[in-house]
Amino acid sequence: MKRVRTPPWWAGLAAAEAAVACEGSEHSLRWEDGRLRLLDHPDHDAEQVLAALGGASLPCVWLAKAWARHSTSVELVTLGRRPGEVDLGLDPAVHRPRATTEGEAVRSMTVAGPLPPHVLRSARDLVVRGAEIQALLALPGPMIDRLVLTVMAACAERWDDEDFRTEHGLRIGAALAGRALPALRRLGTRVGDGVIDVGVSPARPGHGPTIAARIEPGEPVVVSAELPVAWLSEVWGRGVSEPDGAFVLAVTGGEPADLRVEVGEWTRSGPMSWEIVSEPARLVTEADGSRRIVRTQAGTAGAAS
Amino acid sequence: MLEETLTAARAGGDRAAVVNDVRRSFRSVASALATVGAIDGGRAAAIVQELDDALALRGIVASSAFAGRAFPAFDPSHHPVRRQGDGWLESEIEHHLDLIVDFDPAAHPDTGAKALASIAPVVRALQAVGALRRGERRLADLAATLAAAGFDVEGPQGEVDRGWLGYLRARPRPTLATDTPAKTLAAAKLLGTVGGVAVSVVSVGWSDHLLDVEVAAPSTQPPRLRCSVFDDAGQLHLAAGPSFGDGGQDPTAPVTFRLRPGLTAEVRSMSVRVTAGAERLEDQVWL
Repeated sequence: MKRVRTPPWWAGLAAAEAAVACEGSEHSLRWEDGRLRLLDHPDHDAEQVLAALGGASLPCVWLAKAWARHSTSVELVTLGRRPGEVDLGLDPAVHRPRATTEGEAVRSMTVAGPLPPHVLRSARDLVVRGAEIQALLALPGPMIDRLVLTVMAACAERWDDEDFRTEHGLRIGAALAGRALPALRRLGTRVGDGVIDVGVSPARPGHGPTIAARIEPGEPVVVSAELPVAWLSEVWGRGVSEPDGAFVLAVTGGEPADLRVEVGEWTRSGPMSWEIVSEPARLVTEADGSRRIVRTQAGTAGAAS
Repeated sequence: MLEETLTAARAGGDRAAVVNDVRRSFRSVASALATVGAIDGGRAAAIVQELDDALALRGIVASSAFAGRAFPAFDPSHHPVRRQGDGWLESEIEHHLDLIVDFDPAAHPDTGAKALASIAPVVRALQAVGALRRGERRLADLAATLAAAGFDVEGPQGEVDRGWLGYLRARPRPTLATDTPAKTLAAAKLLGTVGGVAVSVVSVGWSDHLLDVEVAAPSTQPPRLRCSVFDDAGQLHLAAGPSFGDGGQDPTAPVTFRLRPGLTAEVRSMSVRVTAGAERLEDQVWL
């Protein structure tokens, strides 16, 4: 039997580019295949080393460094895009970034009187961090989306760590709810009418998605869902959470144009309760960009024609 | 909570009034949670800034609101509620009543619903952290009182609070800067202590239109106080404006609360209530 490999979260995401004023001209940053590249600084690692040794810090290099540094900044999942949002990002035309290099950020600090070194250091870190975040969020929307997805993927990787969950679970849970809620509400309308009350929380490590609905006469339909944190980057981030009228629980393999997925189907579990069962399917993207779900039988997803 | 607020603000689009209401409500909730000690003050300020950052990023508020600060992670240690918020809720409701009283229910029937919508999220949040014993009930009482006063309200209604209703029906006129009390009395009544600071009523002054209550809470960092009075004739008196101090920049100087309406001739005693954060002190002052 052909072995199906789960594609990385970024597989199938279109590349994104941003123009940056650097060294007196317009340089390009390009995100592709999960990595940020500086097209006009082929050896930017060496330039970063030079900058660290006291050489001139260049805007492109500084942005790449900020990108790497904030690829695990969990608060970015709070700031990032929600379903249905079109425009996102600080408009550089009205919101001039306060710095384009670390040196500029530090020079923008106003210090009243002498301060103990540790206070000065922590104030400096705060200013630099603020300037980095501001510069990153002034990039074009598609670049911001990819940065936030990078953070989401990092969160999913670290979800096994209990300390990480304790520290960031609340924020990640809220971020998950913010993204999954509209789709789950629509999913709820398939089993009941009227008000759909949805609760979403992150699934425990190693646990798959579980979704259940309870319908009592005269009460709102209550949908309770536990979704893996990886759903954010692997399903929602790919834009495949609701293709062709289905609700995708997970991406399990395949290629970007022909993904193996698990879709959820309601099944009655009691007189007033329903639960979602997972069914394998293929998500095929046609040449015109349209998507269709091809149902497959359990255990045959990899071999379906 | 932040997710809900963000959704509501986005739904408001560029309608500034909706966005402002949503931000104000969020700030009230954060401030109330800090007041009862459910979150620390720094965390409350950070989460308010975080909402502003998210709104600025979406162009919903001016980009100058964006700070890009590092936000503290959720504090994993157990953070029990240190104070009950029922006293605070009473003074918050009174504050809203004083804002509502200037609106004629016949001309502005939706004012009551707006006030309820403003208080409800705070009650919900405090109730969720276990800081209120009677939150939903008092909210329902407020709804019933507003309905009895002629405002349109929705949601569950409890019992009419006669003090609140009396205040709304009295429709006391706003006090003027030129108004002065016709009578004054040195009271020197200790109400109690808040955070180690002794709070006392220094004097009262009154006329037909106003009631001044001078309160001392001598401290270099005095607590933020609110004051209301319930007299023995059954009339509630609420502060029509901010307190004003006699000591200029001196934080230890007493402050005077100007309340409305004034006292009638038959009043012999009154219950003075001073709220500092979640604490409420109350005692009788004889005239």
